[in-house]
Amino acid sequence: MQGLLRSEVFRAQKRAQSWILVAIIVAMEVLFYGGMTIAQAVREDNESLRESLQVATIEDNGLALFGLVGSILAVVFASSLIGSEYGWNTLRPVLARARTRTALLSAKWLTALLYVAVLAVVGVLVTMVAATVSSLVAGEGAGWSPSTLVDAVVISGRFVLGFLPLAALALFVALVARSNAAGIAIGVAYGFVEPVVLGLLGALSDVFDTIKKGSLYWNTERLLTLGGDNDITARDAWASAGILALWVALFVTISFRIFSRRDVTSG
Amino acid sequence: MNVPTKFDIRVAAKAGHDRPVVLEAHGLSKTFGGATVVNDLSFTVRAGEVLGFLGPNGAGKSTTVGMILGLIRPTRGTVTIAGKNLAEHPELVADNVGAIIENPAFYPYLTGRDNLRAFAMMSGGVDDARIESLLTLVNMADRADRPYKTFSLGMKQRLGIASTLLTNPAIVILDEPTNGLDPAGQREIREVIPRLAAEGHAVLLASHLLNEVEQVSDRVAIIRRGQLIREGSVDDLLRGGSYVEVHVPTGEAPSAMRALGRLPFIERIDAERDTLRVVAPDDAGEAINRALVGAGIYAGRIALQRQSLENLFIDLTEDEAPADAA
Repeated sequence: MQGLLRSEVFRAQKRAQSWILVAIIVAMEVLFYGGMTIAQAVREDNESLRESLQVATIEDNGLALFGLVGSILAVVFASSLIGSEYGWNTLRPVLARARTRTALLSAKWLTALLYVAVLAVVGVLVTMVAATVSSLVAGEGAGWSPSTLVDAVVISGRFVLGFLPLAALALFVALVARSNAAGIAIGVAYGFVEPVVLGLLGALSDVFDTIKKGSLYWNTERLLTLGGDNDITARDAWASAGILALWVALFVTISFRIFSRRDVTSG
Repeated sequence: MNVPTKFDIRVAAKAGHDRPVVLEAHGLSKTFGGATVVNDLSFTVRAGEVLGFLGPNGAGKSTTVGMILGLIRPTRGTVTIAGKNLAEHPELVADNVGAIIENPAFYPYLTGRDNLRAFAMMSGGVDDARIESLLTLVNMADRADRPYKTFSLGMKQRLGIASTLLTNPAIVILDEPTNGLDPAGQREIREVIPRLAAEGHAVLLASHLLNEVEQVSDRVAIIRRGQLIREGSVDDLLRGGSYVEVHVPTGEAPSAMRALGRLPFIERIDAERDTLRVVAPDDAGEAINRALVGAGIYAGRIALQRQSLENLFIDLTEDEAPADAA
Protein backbone atom coordinates (compact mmCIF):
# COMPACT_ATOMS: atom_id res chain seq x y z
CA MET A 1 0.00 0.00 0.00
CA GLN A 2 2.98 2.28 0.59
CA GLY A 3 3.61 2.58 -3.16
CA LEU A 4 -0.03 3.34 -3.87
CA LEU A 5 -0.05 6.05 -1.20
CA ARG A 6 3.18 7.54 -2.58
CA SER A 7 1.63 7.63 -6.02
CA GLU A 8 -1.56 9.26 -4.71
CA VAL A 9 0.44 11.95 -2.91
CA PHE A 10 2.70 12.45 -5.95
CA ARG A 11 -0.32 12.95 -8.20
CA ALA A 12 -2.03 15.24 -5.70
CA GLN A 13 1.12 17.38 -5.56
CA LYS A 14 1.28 17.58 -9.34
CA ARG A 15 -2.41 18.37 -9.80
CA ALA A 16 -3.27 22.04 -10.07
CA GLN A 17 -6.59 21.46 -8.32
CA SER A 18 -4.83 20.64 -5.02
CA TRP A 19 -3.02 23.96 -5.05
CA ILE A 20 -5.97 25.96 -6.32
CA LEU A 21 -8.16 24.78 -3.43
CA VAL A 22 -5.49 25.87 -0.93
CA ALA A 23 -5.05 29.15 -2.82
CA ILE A 24 -8.78 29.78 -2.52
CA ILE A 25 -8.51 29.51 1.27
CA VAL A 26 -5.52 31.84 1.38
CA ALA A 27 -7.14 34.37 -0.97
CA MET A 28 -10.44 34.25 0.90
CA GLU A 29 -8.87 34.95 4.30
CA VAL A 30 -6.57 37.63 2.92
CA LEU A 31 -9.49 39.35 1.21
CA PHE A 32 -11.69 39.00 4.29
CA TYR A 33 -9.17 40.51 6.67
CA GLY A 34 -7.98 43.01 4.05
CA GLY A 35 -11.54 44.23 3.64
CA MET A 36 -12.07 44.39 7.38
CA THR A 37 -8.84 46.36 7.77
CA ILE A 38 -9.95 48.87 5.16
CA ALA A 39 -13.38 49.11 6.77
CA GLN A 40 -11.75 49.66 10.15
CA ALA A 41 -9.53 52.38 8.67
CA VAL A 42 -12.60 54.14 7.30
CA ARG A 43 -14.55 53.82 10.53
CA GLU A 44 -11.88 54.16 13.18
CA ASP A 45 -14.43 54.65 15.94
CA ASN A 46 -16.07 51.23 15.39
CA GLU A 47 -14.92 49.22 18.41
CA SER A 48 -16.49 45.90 17.39
CA LEU A 49 -14.86 46.09 13.96
CA ARG A 50 -11.50 46.65 15.63
CA GLU A 51 -12.04 43.66 17.92
CA SER A 52 -13.05 41.43 15.07
CA LEU A 53 -9.59 41.85 13.52
CA GLN A 54 -7.88 40.23 16.49
CA VAL A 55 -6.65 36.68 16.77
CA ALA A 56 -8.74 36.22 19.89
CA THR A 57 -11.94 36.57 17.83
CA ILE A 58 -11.00 34.54 14.75
CA GLU A 59 -13.50 31.81 15.57
CA ASP A 60 -16.37 34.24 15.05
CA ASN A 61 -14.80 35.78 11.96
CA GLY A 62 -12.11 34.27 9.74
CA LEU A 63 -12.56 30.71 10.98
CA ALA A 64 -16.36 30.85 10.63
CA LEU A 65 -15.84 31.66 6.96
CA PHE A 66 -13.14 29.01 6.65
CA GLY A 67 -15.44 26.41 8.22
CA LEU A 68 -18.06 27.01 5.57
CA VAL A 69 -15.81 27.21 2.50
CA GLY A 70 -13.19 24.72 3.71
CA SER A 71 -15.72 21.91 4.02
CA ILE A 72 -16.81 22.49 0.41
CA LEU A 73 -13.21 22.41 -0.79
CA ALA A 74 -12.57 19.22 1.17
CA VAL A 75 -15.62 17.73 -0.54
CA VAL A 76 -14.27 18.69 -3.98
CA PHE A 77 -10.88 17.12 -3.32
CA ALA A 78 -12.18 13.92 -1.74
CA SER A 79 -14.74 13.31 -4.44
CA SER A 80 -12.19 13.79 -7.21
CA LEU A 81 -9.85 11.24 -5.64
CA ILE A 82 -12.01 8.42 -6.94
CA GLY A 83 -14.52 10.21 -9.19
CA SER A 84 -11.85 11.56 -11.53
CA GLU A 85 -10.42 8.06 -11.96
CA TYR A 86 -13.74 7.06 -13.47
CA GLY A 87 -13.78 10.16 -15.66
CA TRP A 88 -10.26 9.61 -16.98
CA ASN A 89 -10.64 5.82 -17.29
CA THR A 90 -7.61 5.37 -15.08
CA LEU A 91 -9.30 3.28 -12.41
CA ARG A 92 -8.87 -0.05 -14.18
CA PRO A 93 -5.17 0.47 -15.00
CA VAL A 94 -4.58 1.55 -11.41
CA LEU A 95 -6.54 -1.39 -10.01
CA ALA A 96 -4.52 -3.75 -12.18
CA ARG A 97 -1.39 -2.45 -10.45
CA ALA A 98 -2.76 -2.57 -6.92
CA ARG A 99 -1.96 -5.82 -5.13
CA THR A 100 -5.42 -5.68 -3.56
CA ARG A 101 -8.45 -3.45 -3.89
CA THR A 102 -8.33 -2.84 -0.14
CA ALA A 103 -4.82 -1.42 -0.53
CA LEU A 104 -5.93 0.98 -3.25
CA LEU A 105 -8.98 2.23 -1.38
CA SER A 106 -6.97 2.56 1.83
CA ALA A 107 -4.47 4.75 -0.04
CA LYS A 108 -7.35 6.90 -1.31
CA TRP A 109 -8.84 7.33 2.17
CA LEU A 110 -5.46 8.16 3.69
CA THR A 111 -4.82 10.72 0.96
CA ALA A 112 -8.20 12.32 1.69
CA LEU A 113 -7.32 12.46 5.38
CA LEU A 114 -3.88 13.95 4.67
CA TYR A 115 -5.29 16.61 2.37
CA VAL A 116 -8.06 17.55 4.80
CA ALA A 117 -5.37 17.90 7.48
CA VAL A 118 -3.27 20.14 5.20
CA LEU A 119 -6.34 22.22 4.34
CA ALA A 120 -7.25 22.63 8.02
CA VAL A 121 -3.74 23.57 9.13
CA VAL A 122 -3.24 26.01 6.26
CA GLY A 123 -6.67 27.55 6.82
CA VAL A 124 -6.13 28.06 10.55
CA LEU A 125 -2.59 29.39 10.12
CA VAL A 126 -3.52 31.76 7.28
CA THR A 127 -6.46 33.05 9.30
CA MET A 128 -4.24 33.68 12.31
CA VAL A 129 -1.57 35.39 10.25
CA ALA A 130 -4.14 37.50 8.38
CA ALA A 131 -5.78 38.50 11.68
CA THR A 132 -2.41 39.34 13.22
CA VAL A 133 -1.31 41.47 10.26
CA SER A 134 -4.68 43.24 10.15
CA SER A 135 -4.52 44.00 13.86
CA LEU A 136 -1.02 45.38 13.55
CA VAL A 137 -1.96 47.48 10.52
CA ALA A 138 -4.92 48.82 12.48
CA GLY A 139 -2.57 49.77 15.28
CA GLU A 140 -3.92 47.16 17.66
CA GLY A 141 -2.05 44.45 19.46
CA ALA A 142 -2.20 41.08 17.73
CA GLY A 143 -4.07 39.62 20.64
CA TRP A 144 -1.76 36.63 20.97
CA SER A 145 -1.62 34.84 24.31
CA PRO A 146 0.81 32.18 25.57
CA SER A 147 -1.70 29.54 24.56
CA THR A 148 -2.37 30.84 21.05
CA LEU A 149 -0.17 28.29 19.28
CA VAL A 150 -1.58 25.43 21.32
CA ASP A 151 -5.05 26.73 20.48
CA ALA A 152 -4.10 26.75 16.79
CA VAL A 153 -3.17 23.06 16.96
CA VAL A 154 -6.40 22.19 18.78
CA ILE A 155 -8.50 24.23 16.35
CA SER A 156 -6.75 22.59 13.37
CA GLY A 157 -7.54 19.17 14.79
CA ARG A 158 -11.14 20.20 15.29
CA PHE A 159 -11.38 21.39 11.69
CA VAL A 160 -9.92 18.12 10.43
CA LEU A 161 -12.63 16.27 12.33
CA GLY A 162 -15.20 18.77 11.12
CA PHE A 163 -14.27 18.58 7.43
CA LEU A 164 -13.75 14.84 7.30
CA PRO A 165 -17.37 13.59 7.45
CA LEU A 166 -18.58 15.58 4.44
CA ALA A 167 -15.38 14.73 2.57
CA ALA A 168 -15.98 11.07 3.43
CA LEU A 169 -19.57 11.34 2.23
CA ALA A 170 -18.36 12.84 -1.07
CA LEU A 171 -15.72 10.14 -1.62
CA PHE A 172 -18.26 7.47 -0.74
CA VAL A 173 -20.89 8.84 -3.14
CA ALA A 174 -18.34 9.29 -5.95
CA LEU A 175 -17.34 5.64 -5.49
CA VAL A 176 -20.90 4.33 -5.41
CA ALA A 177 -22.09 6.51 -8.31
CA ARG A 178 -18.79 6.17 -10.23
CA SER A 179 -18.96 9.94 -10.73
CA ASN A 180 -16.99 12.94 -9.51
CA ALA A 181 -19.92 15.27 -10.13
CA ALA A 182 -22.23 13.13 -8.01
CA GLY A 183 -19.76 13.13 -5.13
CA ILE A 184 -19.34 16.91 -5.19
CA ALA A 185 -23.05 17.60 -5.68
CA ILE A 186 -24.19 15.37 -2.83
CA GLY A 187 -21.31 16.45 -0.56
CA VAL A 188 -22.06 20.15 -1.04
CA ALA A 189 -25.86 19.90 -1.15
CA TYR A 190 -26.03 17.78 1.98
CA GLY A 191 -24.96 20.70 4.14
CA PHE A 192 -27.89 22.74 2.85
CA VAL A 193 -30.49 19.99 2.70
CA GLU A 194 -30.03 18.39 6.12
CA PRO A 195 -30.90 21.49 8.20
CA VAL A 196 -33.97 22.17 6.06
CA VAL A 197 -35.27 18.60 6.13
CA LEU A 198 -34.60 18.04 9.82
CA GLY A 199 -36.02 21.47 10.61
CA LEU A 200 -39.27 20.63 8.85
CA LEU A 201 -39.47 17.18 10.39
CA GLY A 202 -38.67 18.63 13.81
CA ALA A 203 -41.73 20.86 13.48
CA LEU A 204 -43.83 17.71 13.03
CA SER A 205 -42.49 15.72 15.96
CA ASP A 206 -39.99 16.05 18.79
CA VAL A 207 -38.59 12.68 17.77
CA PHE A 208 -36.80 14.36 14.91
CA ASP A 209 -35.12 16.77 17.29
CA THR A 210 -33.54 13.76 18.93
CA ILE A 211 -32.65 12.20 15.57
CA LYS A 212 -31.04 15.50 14.58
CA LYS A 213 -28.49 15.07 17.37
CA GLY A 214 -27.12 12.05 15.58
CA SER A 215 -27.10 13.67 12.17
CA LEU A 216 -24.04 14.48 10.13
CA TYR A 217 -24.22 18.17 9.37
CA TRP A 218 -25.73 19.26 12.69
CA ASN A 219 -22.74 17.76 14.50
CA THR A 220 -20.30 19.11 11.94
CA GLU A 221 -21.61 22.59 12.52
CA ARG A 222 -21.36 22.25 16.27
CA LEU A 223 -17.78 21.06 16.05
CA LEU A 224 -16.70 23.81 13.67
CA THR A 225 -18.41 26.64 15.57
CA LEU A 226 -17.14 25.68 19.03
CA GLY A 227 -15.48 28.69 20.62
CA GLY A 228 -17.60 31.15 18.71
CA ASP A 229 -20.44 33.29 19.94
CA ASN A 230 -22.70 30.38 20.95
CA ASP A 231 -23.43 28.10 23.89
CA ILE A 232 -21.64 25.00 22.58
CA THR A 233 -19.43 23.50 25.26
CA ALA A 234 -16.28 21.42 24.86
CA ARG A 235 -18.28 18.45 26.09
CA ASP A 236 -20.85 19.01 23.31
CA ALA A 237 -18.02 19.22 20.80
CA TRP A 238 -16.50 15.95 21.98
CA ALA A 239 -19.89 14.26 21.70
CA SER A 240 -20.25 15.61 18.17
CA ALA A 241 -16.72 14.48 17.31
CA GLY A 242 -17.60 10.97 18.45
CA ILE A 243 -20.76 10.87 16.36
CA LEU A 244 -18.92 12.21 13.31
CA ALA A 245 -16.20 9.59 13.75
CA LEU A 246 -18.95 6.97 13.61
CA TRP A 247 -20.30 8.50 10.39
CA VAL A 248 -16.83 8.44 8.84
CA ALA A 249 -16.33 4.84 9.95
CA LEU A 250 -19.68 3.93 8.38
CA PHE A 251 -18.78 5.52 5.02
CA VAL A 252 -15.35 3.91 5.03
CA THR A 253 -16.69 0.48 5.95
CA ILE A 254 -19.45 0.46 3.34
CA SER A 255 -17.09 1.79 0.67
CA PHE A 256 -14.68 -1.10 1.29
CA ARG A 257 -17.50 -3.63 1.13
CA ILE A 258 -18.82 -2.24 -2.15
CA PHE A 259 -15.42 -1.76 -3.76
CA SER A 260 -14.13 -5.21 -2.87
CA ARG A 261 -17.15 -6.99 -4.37
CA ARG A 262 -17.93 -4.89 -7.40
CA ASP A 263 -17.15 -5.80 -11.00
CA VAL A 264 -15.17 -2.92 -12.46
CA THR A 265 -16.33 -2.69 -16.05
CA SER A 266 -15.69 1.03 -16.57
CA GLY A 267 -13.33 3.73 -15.38
CA MET B 1 1.26 -17.59 4.19
CA ASN B 2 3.41 -15.41 1.99
CA VAL B 3 3.70 -17.17 -1.38
CA PRO B 4 6.05 -15.71 -4.03
CA THR B 5 3.83 -14.77 -6.94
CA LYS B 6 6.21 -13.06 -9.34
CA PHE B 7 6.98 -15.21 -12.36
CA ASP B 8 10.52 -14.79 -13.65
CA ILE B 9 10.40 -14.45 -17.43
CA ARG B 10 14.07 -15.39 -17.70
CA VAL B 11 12.99 -18.94 -16.85
CA ALA B 12 10.71 -18.90 -19.87
CA ALA B 13 13.30 -17.33 -22.14
CA LYS B 14 15.70 -20.19 -21.35
CA ALA B 15 13.05 -22.88 -21.65
CA GLY B 16 13.12 -22.92 -25.47
CA HIS B 17 10.27 -24.93 -26.97
CA ASP B 18 9.14 -26.37 -23.65
CA ARG B 19 7.75 -23.08 -22.45
CA PRO B 20 5.63 -22.96 -19.34
CA VAL B 21 1.99 -21.85 -19.39
CA VAL B 22 1.84 -18.49 -17.61
CA LEU B 23 -1.80 -17.68 -18.20
CA GLU B 24 -4.64 -20.14 -18.23
CA ALA B 25 -8.34 -19.40 -18.48
CA HIS B 26 -10.31 -22.50 -17.59
CA GLY B 27 -14.08 -22.73 -18.11
CA LEU B 28 -14.49 -18.99 -17.70
CA SER B 29 -18.09 -17.78 -17.73
CA LYS B 30 -19.62 -14.46 -16.88
CA THR B 31 -23.26 -13.56 -16.62
CA PHE B 32 -24.45 -9.99 -16.26
CA GLY B 33 -28.09 -9.68 -15.22
CA GLY B 34 -29.09 -12.97 -16.84
CA ALA B 35 -27.13 -12.37 -20.05
CA THR B 36 -24.19 -14.71 -20.52
CA VAL B 37 -21.37 -12.65 -21.98
CA VAL B 38 -18.61 -15.25 -21.70
CA ASN B 39 -19.44 -18.93 -21.75
CA ASP B 40 -17.10 -21.74 -20.74
CA LEU B 41 -14.05 -20.12 -22.28
CA SER B 42 -10.71 -21.89 -21.94
CA PHE B 43 -7.35 -21.03 -23.42
CA THR B 44 -3.73 -20.81 -22.42
CA VAL B 45 -0.87 -18.47 -23.17
CA ARG B 46 2.65 -19.77 -22.85
CA ALA B 47 5.70 -17.75 -21.99
CA GLY B 48 7.38 -16.43 -25.10
CA GLU B 49 4.37 -16.64 -27.39
CA VAL B 50 1.94 -14.14 -28.84
CA LEU B 51 -1.72 -15.15 -28.73
CA GLY B 52 -3.97 -13.14 -31.04
CA PHE B 53 -7.31 -12.73 -29.32
CA LEU B 54 -10.05 -11.99 -31.81
CA GLY B 55 -13.79 -11.62 -31.84
CA PRO B 56 -16.48 -9.33 -33.19
CA ASN B 57 -17.76 -6.40 -31.14
CA GLY B 58 -19.58 -7.69 -28.08
CA ALA B 59 -18.00 -11.14 -28.36
CA GLY B 60 -16.77 -10.92 -24.76
CA LYS B 61 -13.11 -9.97 -25.26
CA SER B 62 -13.12 -7.04 -22.85
CA THR B 63 -15.02 -9.05 -20.25
CA THR B 64 -12.47 -11.85 -20.60
CA VAL B 65 -9.58 -9.41 -20.21
CA GLY B 66 -11.41 -7.91 -17.21
CA MET B 67 -11.57 -11.36 -15.60
CA ILE B 68 -7.89 -12.00 -16.30
CA LEU B 69 -7.05 -8.70 -14.62
CA GLY B 70 -9.24 -9.42 -11.60
CA LEU B 71 -11.51 -6.49 -12.41
CA ILE B 72 -14.51 -8.73 -13.09
CA ARG B 73 -15.30 -11.80 -11.04
CA PRO B 74 -16.06 -14.89 -13.12
CA THR B 75 -19.46 -16.45 -12.56
CA ARG B 76 -17.74 -19.79 -13.13
CA GLY B 77 -14.25 -20.93 -14.01
CA THR B 78 -10.78 -19.93 -12.98
CA VAL B 79 -7.90 -17.79 -14.13
CA THR B 80 -4.49 -19.19 -13.33
CA ILE B 81 -1.41 -17.01 -13.55
CA ALA B 82 2.03 -18.59 -13.22
CA GLY B 83 0.37 -21.73 -11.89
CA LYS B 84 -1.60 -20.01 -9.14
CA ASN B 85 -5.30 -19.32 -8.89
CA LEU B 86 -6.09 -15.62 -9.27
CA ALA B 87 -9.15 -15.87 -7.00
CA GLU B 88 -6.87 -16.95 -4.15
CA HIS B 89 -3.98 -14.62 -5.00
CA PRO B 90 -5.29 -11.28 -6.30
CA GLU B 91 -1.74 -9.90 -6.17
CA LEU B 92 -0.84 -12.12 -9.15
CA VAL B 93 -2.05 -9.44 -11.56
CA ALA B 94 0.07 -6.64 -10.09
CA ASP B 95 3.08 -8.95 -9.96
CA ASN B 96 2.80 -10.52 -13.40
CA VAL B 97 0.57 -8.60 -15.79
CA GLY B 98 0.98 -5.37 -17.72
CA ALA B 99 -2.07 -4.32 -19.68
CA ILE B 100 -3.63 -1.71 -21.86
CA ILE B 101 -7.34 -2.02 -21.24
CA GLU B 102 -9.40 -1.00 -24.29
CA ASN B 103 -7.45 2.25 -24.74
CA PRO B 104 -4.41 3.70 -23.00
CA ALA B 105 -5.58 5.81 -20.07
CA PHE B 106 -3.39 8.17 -18.08
CA TYR B 107 -3.66 11.26 -15.92
CA PRO B 108 -4.20 14.21 -18.27
CA TYR B 109 -2.53 16.80 -16.04
CA LEU B 110 0.73 14.84 -15.74
CA THR B 111 3.47 14.68 -18.35
CA GLY B 112 4.13 11.38 -20.05
CA ARG B 113 7.21 10.82 -17.91
CA ASP B 114 5.37 11.69 -14.68
CA ASN B 115 2.57 9.34 -15.64
CA LEU B 116 5.07 6.51 -15.88
CA ARG B 117 6.58 7.60 -12.56
CA ALA B 118 3.12 7.58 -10.93
CA PHE B 119 2.43 4.06 -12.21
CA ALA B 120 5.94 2.94 -11.28
CA MET B 121 5.36 4.10 -7.70
CA MET B 122 2.18 2.02 -7.53
CA SER B 123 4.05 -1.07 -8.59
CA GLY B 124 7.22 -0.39 -6.63
CA GLY B 125 10.74 -1.47 -7.52
CA VAL B 126 10.87 0.46 -10.81
CA ASP B 127 13.71 2.94 -11.08
CA ASP B 128 14.07 6.00 -13.32
CA ALA B 129 16.55 4.17 -15.56
CA ARG B 130 13.85 1.61 -16.40
CA ILE B 131 11.41 4.42 -17.23
CA GLU B 132 13.96 6.06 -19.52
CA SER B 133 14.78 2.80 -21.30
CA LEU B 134 11.09 2.15 -21.94
CA LEU B 135 10.55 5.68 -23.23
CA THR B 136 13.44 5.09 -25.61
CA LEU B 137 12.00 1.71 -26.64
CA VAL B 138 8.72 3.33 -27.71
CA ASN B 139 10.48 6.34 -29.23
CA MET B 140 9.03 8.81 -26.73
CA ALA B 141 12.08 9.93 -24.75
CA ASP B 142 12.20 13.40 -26.30
CA ARG B 143 8.44 14.01 -26.06
CA ALA B 144 7.70 12.61 -22.61
CA ASP B 145 7.82 15.96 -20.81
CA ARG B 146 4.71 17.25 -22.52
CA PRO B 147 1.39 17.03 -20.65
CA TYR B 148 -0.45 13.83 -21.52
CA LYS B 149 -3.55 15.81 -22.48
CA THR B 150 -1.64 17.24 -25.45
CA PHE B 151 -0.60 13.81 -26.76
CA SER B 152 -1.77 12.47 -30.10
CA LEU B 153 -3.43 9.05 -30.13
CA GLY B 154 -0.22 7.53 -31.41
CA MET B 155 1.81 9.03 -28.54
CA LYS B 156 -0.76 7.74 -26.08
CA GLN B 157 -0.40 4.26 -27.54
CA ARG B 158 3.37 4.39 -27.24
CA LEU B 159 3.15 5.53 -23.62
CA GLY B 160 0.59 2.78 -22.98
CA ILE B 161 2.97 0.12 -24.26
CA ALA B 162 5.79 1.56 -22.13
CA SER B 163 3.56 1.46 -19.05
CA THR B 164 2.67 -2.20 -19.57
CA LEU B 165 6.36 -3.08 -19.45
CA LEU B 166 7.29 -1.10 -16.33
CA THR B 167 7.56 -4.12 -14.06
CA ASN B 168 8.89 -6.45 -16.78
CA PRO B 169 5.73 -8.56 -16.40
CA ALA B 170 5.39 -12.16 -17.46
CA ILE B 171 2.13 -11.39 -19.28
CA VAL B 172 1.54 -8.38 -21.52
CA ILE B 173 -2.02 -7.67 -22.64
CA LEU B 174 -2.26 -5.28 -25.57
CA ASP B 175 -5.63 -4.12 -26.86
CA GLU B 176 -5.41 -2.38 -30.25
CA PRO B 177 -1.78 -1.35 -29.71
CA THR B 178 -1.36 0.25 -33.13
CA ASN B 179 -4.61 2.17 -33.07
CA GLY B 180 -3.87 5.76 -34.12
CA LEU B 181 -0.29 5.13 -35.18
CA ASP B 182 0.99 6.09 -38.60
CA PRO B 183 2.32 3.28 -40.82
CA ALA B 184 5.88 3.73 -39.56
CA GLY B 185 4.64 3.63 -35.96
CA GLN B 186 2.57 0.55 -36.67
CA ARG B 187 5.62 -1.19 -38.06
CA GLU B 188 7.66 -0.24 -34.98
CA ILE B 189 5.06 -1.76 -32.69
CA ARG B 190 4.78 -4.83 -34.88
CA GLU B 191 8.51 -5.24 -34.42
CA VAL B 192 8.33 -4.69 -30.67
CA ILE B 193 5.69 -7.41 -30.06
CA PRO B 194 7.74 -10.39 -31.30
CA ARG B 195 10.73 -8.97 -29.42
CA LEU B 196 8.70 -9.07 -26.21
CA ALA B 197 7.86 -12.70 -26.89
CA ALA B 198 11.51 -13.46 -27.59
CA GLU B 199 12.39 -12.01 -24.18
CA GLY B 200 10.01 -14.51 -22.59
CA HIS B 201 6.87 -12.38 -22.14
CA ALA B 202 3.54 -14.01 -22.90
CA VAL B 203 1.62 -11.55 -25.08
CA LEU B 204 -2.16 -11.49 -25.43
CA LEU B 205 -2.91 -9.30 -28.44
CA ALA B 206 -6.36 -8.05 -29.29
CA SER B 207 -6.49 -6.09 -32.51
CA HIS B 208 -8.94 -5.40 -35.29
CA LEU B 209 -6.05 -5.29 -37.74
CA LEU B 210 -6.19 -8.97 -38.64
CA ASN B 211 -3.23 -8.67 -40.98
CA GLU B 212 -1.23 -7.38 -38.04
CA VAL B 213 -2.36 -10.22 -35.79
CA GLU B 214 -1.47 -12.71 -38.51
CA GLN B 215 2.02 -11.26 -38.81
CA VAL B 216 2.97 -11.21 -35.15
CA SER B 217 0.93 -13.98 -33.49
CA ASP B 218 2.09 -17.52 -32.89
CA ARG B 219 -1.42 -18.66 -32.11
CA VAL B 220 -4.88 -17.20 -32.48
CA ALA B 221 -8.02 -17.64 -30.39
CA ILE B 222 -11.26 -16.51 -32.01
CA ILE B 223 -14.30 -16.04 -29.81
CA ARG B 224 -17.86 -15.41 -30.76
CA ARG B 225 -20.78 -14.78 -28.43
CA GLY B 226 -18.53 -15.51 -25.48
CA GLN B 227 -17.40 -18.90 -26.72
CA LEU B 228 -14.14 -20.05 -28.21
CA ILE B 229 -14.84 -21.09 -31.79
CA ARG B 230 -11.32 -21.62 -33.08
CA GLU B 231 -7.89 -21.79 -31.51
CA GLY B 232 -4.60 -22.89 -32.91
CA SER B 233 -1.34 -21.85 -34.44
CA VAL B 234 -1.64 -19.32 -37.25
CA ASP B 235 -0.13 -21.83 -39.69
CA ASP B 236 -2.59 -24.57 -38.72
CA LEU B 237 -5.60 -22.29 -38.92
CA LEU B 238 -4.66 -20.95 -42.34
CA ARG B 239 -3.39 -24.19 -43.85
CA GLY B 240 -6.83 -25.61 -44.64
CA GLY B 241 -8.00 -22.56 -46.49
CA SER B 242 -5.29 -22.25 -49.18
CA TYR B 243 -6.17 -22.99 -52.82
CA VAL B 244 -4.66 -22.66 -56.27
CA GLU B 245 -6.46 -20.19 -58.51
CA VAL B 246 -6.34 -21.08 -62.21
CA HIS B 247 -7.52 -18.78 -65.03
CA VAL B 248 -8.30 -20.76 -68.18
CA PRO B 249 -9.35 -19.54 -71.64
CA THR B 250 -13.04 -18.78 -72.10
CA GLY B 251 -15.17 -21.92 -72.43
CA GLU B 252 -12.44 -24.33 -71.36
CA ALA B 253 -13.31 -24.56 -67.70
CA PRO B 254 -15.19 -27.92 -68.04
CA SER B 255 -12.27 -29.54 -69.89
CA ALA B 256 -9.81 -28.14 -67.37
CA MET B 257 -11.86 -29.53 -64.49
CA ARG B 258 -11.86 -32.97 -66.11
CA ALA B 259 -8.09 -32.84 -66.65
CA LEU B 260 -7.36 -31.72 -63.11
CA GLY B 261 -9.88 -34.15 -61.64
CA ARG B 262 -7.56 -37.00 -62.63
CA LEU B 263 -4.78 -35.73 -60.40
CA PRO B 264 -4.77 -37.75 -57.15
CA PHE B 265 -3.81 -34.91 -54.83
CA ILE B 266 -6.64 -32.59 -55.85
CA GLU B 267 -9.18 -32.35 -53.00
CA ARG B 268 -11.82 -30.17 -54.61
CA ILE B 269 -12.37 -27.93 -57.65
CA ASP B 270 -14.86 -25.06 -57.80
CA ALA B 271 -15.41 -23.13 -60.99
CA GLU B 272 -16.67 -19.62 -61.47
CA ARG B 273 -16.81 -18.75 -65.19
CA ASP B 274 -13.20 -19.11 -66.37
CA THR B 275 -11.62 -19.22 -62.94
CA LEU B 276 -11.05 -22.47 -61.08
CA ARG B 277 -10.45 -22.69 -57.32
CA VAL B 278 -8.43 -25.84 -56.86
CA VAL B 279 -7.96 -27.11 -53.33
CA ALA B 280 -4.59 -28.78 -53.49
CA PRO B 281 -1.22 -28.80 -51.70
CA ASP B 282 0.63 -25.46 -51.77
CA ASP B 283 3.30 -26.85 -54.16
CA ALA B 284 0.83 -28.28 -56.70
CA GLY B 285 1.12 -25.39 -59.22
CA GLU B 286 3.64 -27.10 -61.49
CA ALA B 287 1.70 -30.40 -61.67
CA ILE B 288 -1.51 -28.52 -62.39
CA ASN B 289 0.16 -26.59 -65.21
CA ARG B 290 1.57 -29.81 -66.70
CA ALA B 291 -1.83 -31.53 -66.56
CA LEU B 292 -3.53 -28.60 -68.26
CA VAL B 293 -0.86 -28.37 -71.00
CA GLY B 294 -1.22 -32.11 -71.51
CA ALA B 295 -4.92 -31.52 -72.16
CA GLY B 296 -4.12 -28.71 -74.59
CA ILE B 297 -5.22 -25.98 -72.22
CA TYR B 298 -2.92 -23.03 -71.62
CA ALA B 299 -3.73 -21.27 -68.35
CA GLY B 300 -3.47 -17.49 -68.29
CA ARG B 301 -2.55 -17.51 -64.60
CA ILE B 302 -1.87 -20.07 -61.92
CA ALA B 303 -1.45 -18.62 -58.43
CA LEU B 304 -1.44 -19.97 -54.92
CA GLN B 305 -4.04 -18.09 -52.85
CA ARG B 306 -3.24 -18.39 -49.19
CA GLN B 307 -6.03 -18.30 -46.67
CA SER B 308 -5.85 -15.06 -44.71
CA LEU B 309 -6.78 -14.60 -41.11
CA GLU B 310 -9.17 -11.90 -42.23
CA ASN B 311 -11.06 -14.31 -44.50
CA LEU B 312 -11.08 -16.99 -41.84
CA PHE B 313 -12.32 -14.53 -39.25
CA ILE B 314 -15.10 -13.30 -41.52
CA ASP B 315 -16.09 -16.86 -42.43
CA LEU B 316 -16.35 -17.77 -38.78
CA THR B 317 -18.14 -14.67 -37.61
CA GLU B 318 -19.97 -13.42 -40.69
CA ASP B 319 -23.41 -13.45 -39.10
CA GLU B 320 -22.16 -10.92 -36.56
CA ALA B 321 -22.67 -7.30 -37.48
CA PRO B 322 -20.55 -5.31 -37.82
CA ALA B 323 -17.55 -7.59 -38.39
CA ASP B 324 -14.82 -6.16 -36.23
CA ALA B 325 -12.29 -7.65 -33.94
CA ALA B 326 -11.92 -4.65 -31.68
